[in-house]
Amino acid sequence: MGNFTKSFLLAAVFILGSGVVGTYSWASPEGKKALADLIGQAKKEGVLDSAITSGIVKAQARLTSAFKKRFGLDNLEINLARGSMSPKFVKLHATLKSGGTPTFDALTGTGQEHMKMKEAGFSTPIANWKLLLAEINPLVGSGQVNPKDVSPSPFSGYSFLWSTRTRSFIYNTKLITPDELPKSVADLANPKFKGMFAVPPWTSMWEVATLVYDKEKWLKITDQTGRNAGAVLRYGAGMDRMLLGEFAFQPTNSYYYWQRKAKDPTVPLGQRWFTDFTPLTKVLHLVPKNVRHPAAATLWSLWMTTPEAQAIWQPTNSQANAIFGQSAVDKEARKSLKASGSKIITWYDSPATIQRFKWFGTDEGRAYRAELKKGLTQRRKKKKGKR
Amino acid sequence: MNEVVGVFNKQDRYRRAGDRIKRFLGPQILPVSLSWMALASVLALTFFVLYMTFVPGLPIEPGLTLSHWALLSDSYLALEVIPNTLIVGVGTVLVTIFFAGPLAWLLNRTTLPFRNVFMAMIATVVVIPGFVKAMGWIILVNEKIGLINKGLAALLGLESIPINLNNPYGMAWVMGLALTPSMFFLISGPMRALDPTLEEAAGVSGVNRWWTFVRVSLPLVWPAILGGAIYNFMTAISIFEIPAMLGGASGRAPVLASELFYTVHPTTPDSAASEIPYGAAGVYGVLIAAPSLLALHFYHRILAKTHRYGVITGKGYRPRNVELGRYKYWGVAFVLFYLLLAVVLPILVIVWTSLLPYVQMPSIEALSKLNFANYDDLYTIMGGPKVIRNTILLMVTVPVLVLFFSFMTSWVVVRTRLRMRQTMDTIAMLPHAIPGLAFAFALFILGLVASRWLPWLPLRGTVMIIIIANSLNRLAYGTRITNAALLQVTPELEECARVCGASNVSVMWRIIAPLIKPSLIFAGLWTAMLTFREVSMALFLTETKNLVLAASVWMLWRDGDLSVASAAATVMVLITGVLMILTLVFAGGRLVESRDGAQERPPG
Repeated sequence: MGNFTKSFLLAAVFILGSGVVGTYSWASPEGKKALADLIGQAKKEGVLDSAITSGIVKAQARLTSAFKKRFGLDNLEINLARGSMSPKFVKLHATLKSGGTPTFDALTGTGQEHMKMKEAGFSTPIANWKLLLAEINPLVGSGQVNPKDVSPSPFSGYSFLWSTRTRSFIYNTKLITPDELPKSVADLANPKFKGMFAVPPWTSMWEVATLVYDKEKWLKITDQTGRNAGAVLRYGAGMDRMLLGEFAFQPTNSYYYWQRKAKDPTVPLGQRWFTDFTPLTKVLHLVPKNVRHPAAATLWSLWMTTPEAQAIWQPTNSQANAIFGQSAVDKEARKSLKASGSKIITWYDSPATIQRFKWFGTDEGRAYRAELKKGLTQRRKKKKGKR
Repeated sequence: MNEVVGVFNKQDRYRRAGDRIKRFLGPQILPVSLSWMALASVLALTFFVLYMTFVPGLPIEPGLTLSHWALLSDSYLALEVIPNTLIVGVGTVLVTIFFAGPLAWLLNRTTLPFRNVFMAMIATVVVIPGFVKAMGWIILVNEKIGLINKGLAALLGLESIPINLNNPYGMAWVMGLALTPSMFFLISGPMRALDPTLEEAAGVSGVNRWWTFVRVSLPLVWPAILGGAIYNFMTAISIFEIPAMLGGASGRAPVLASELFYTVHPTTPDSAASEIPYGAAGVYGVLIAAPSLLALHFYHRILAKTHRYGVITGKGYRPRNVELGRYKYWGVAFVLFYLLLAVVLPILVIVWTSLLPYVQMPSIEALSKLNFANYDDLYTIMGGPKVIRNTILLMVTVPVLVLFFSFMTSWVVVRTRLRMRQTMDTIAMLPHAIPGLAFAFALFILGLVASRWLPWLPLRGTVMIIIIANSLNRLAYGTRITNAALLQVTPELEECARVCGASNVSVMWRIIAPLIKPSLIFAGLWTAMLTFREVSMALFLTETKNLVLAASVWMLWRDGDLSVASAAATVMVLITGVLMILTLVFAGGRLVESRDGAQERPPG
């Protein structure tokens, strides 16, 4: 056999092999059987109670109909609640702690919420999750996406990534130019920005910043940021007040920018990433313990990771999946983030970051958090003449 | 043989005990037992809220602690939260009396034109969600962007007018405007029923109109005004949505209600905790209840002198209207001024916002962007048929339950001499003293327990739990109306009926109910409207199948899309406005007719 023939054969084997691995690397007869069993069980359950964020309610009917069609669950009754997920998780903890049955079979929430659920032993591990993902999500089935990106550590096998949220500056282009904007989150402490922005009443972004900044130094920066803030407002209300001209810019959820632009391309908004860090929150689905309809919940949690589901809900709220999403919005978000050079941080990058997250649950961490909140919102300081 | 004797003795004992209860309660056994059904639930929930303050974790876990009460030593609470709350409570009452007093007189006792239309419009104030009113006022009054500030600054040649509403005074102003209708409806019934012979007697004695109003009319409606003031004070300190918009959510102008809400309803994942601080929530609930209970005590002192306020008697009850003459234009101007502040401006703001892709100030550029895109798919966005069905069920069931139990309770309180009657009235008022959210929280825990031990009970996650929460919460309002209405019907009418052999039920249904029908209709309508727009309890109790419209609109606002939320709010206002006008045209027309008819008929 000549060299040419050898090379040709090797190339042919490589191409065929990579094709097989690429297309069917995770798909298997076991996976098909596991999926068929799950569908059969879901049919018996007959109901799915879950929740979606209010941002995607426009897509609710199409989502439920596509889900039923995908798995042949025509008779499945789907009840989807909406609204903020944090209160739902708090109630879920109370329910499970008291030995009750959760009202939600599957729930979406941030990584922080999932960490606490898993720590408390309230999340259900999904059996054969890799095989099921390969059957349900074509990105995994084709090998384009590793199942571990869909169900990342530290909640592998328990939680499944639906989307991501990042924070950045969004500004009113009629009131401020990009050059005049602060560059970093720490710059908000600069007195020249006094009264030009609002901060939220929660400290999640300022907590995760301790992965980048020294804790004591950060406390002072946060306190000065609070003094400079023109108001303390929820992100949505802050956006409205900025559009009305009360504030020039906001540190807020980046997807508001894409969302408003999608609604009206002429809206006077600009967006810029922080230079010191970009906090990224993973939003995932899980199946809590003791639910009434675990099979339907598992199917829903896994299916919501698929491009099929994403194509339905993403146009309604422009929230990207910056980890493995393949839509135009996802690619644009990744490209823009990469170009900014900003350091992306999450609570679950490494054991050290997870350790810091857990530290916030200790007495010392709680006290630190309370100080952060006092600084950011300037509570209790007015009467003492510190402002 | 002994066993048979024992059974007979036992039956005899039961019969004698039954006889003793019958003798003790007399003919009142039916209203007493029915009213206690509701009052016992109120007591149970109240004790549960109190109990929450003494348990370390979940209220169903063992152990007791006093640590939650350490909150009281917090200077933040003493120096900021409580003073702010008092400013909001008292300020709101002053604003409501300023508007509602003249409005009730003008629309019930004078010949002012368009009274029914004005009444319908005042009722519409209720259905405009509080957060929308607050948003409207932020656009109107704000140092940087306020339309009124800008207009005044231009007029006075100043750079800016440093007036903001992000403070307790601003909250009191907005809340006062929002709660004026509740004061108006509370005093409308008694105002309508005032016997003009007393006023005429004053006139004949040479007293002028002003002094007649101050010395004769005002004292007669005093229980209603005081009841309304107490009611509004309690409402004002337990409403969270307006303070939340005007500085409460940020902690810069904190009040007890916003602190309570954000304690039990976290806005964002808390990395430090996964549980609601149940004890702290209970302490906030108790702190809100304390001043309300104090106010209630004074209300009872007034109520003790009930005989002074009876104006509807069997002898010549003839309500009559005052001819305003040329002053009617001033009257109309006053009504329009209130409606402009409380209805027109907020509605204009929500309609304006709903027609724009994003919120912006009025301008030529903004005008060019007006469209109906936010109304696309609104039915689906608001929750579809399920939400509509839940909302209608809520609006129909709650007023019926509230009126029924309120009437029964008031009957015992006002019409009997039972020693427990004042206690019963205080218990009926408790739901208003204890914030609805605390009740909802207690119900949630009970639902949790029920789902574990009594899984067949349709409580948690159903509309039933929201109906129960609202019915108990509105009992205070219902009993204020029925108390005031019964106070004005002197007992001689029912005494006559009893002499003629009528039963208690017959007296209630055929004599008293028709006499106080105007008050009952107002109470029913008002309860339906309050229930329709109530958001905090509904939000807390909402799970997968029991979403109602107000909670749906709030969620839209909370999640950041003010334009779509405004479109939903506009639809909400439109639907209920139409319903309200139809009902008032139907019921109001009959009311006016019967009142005028009474005028034409000879007395007695």
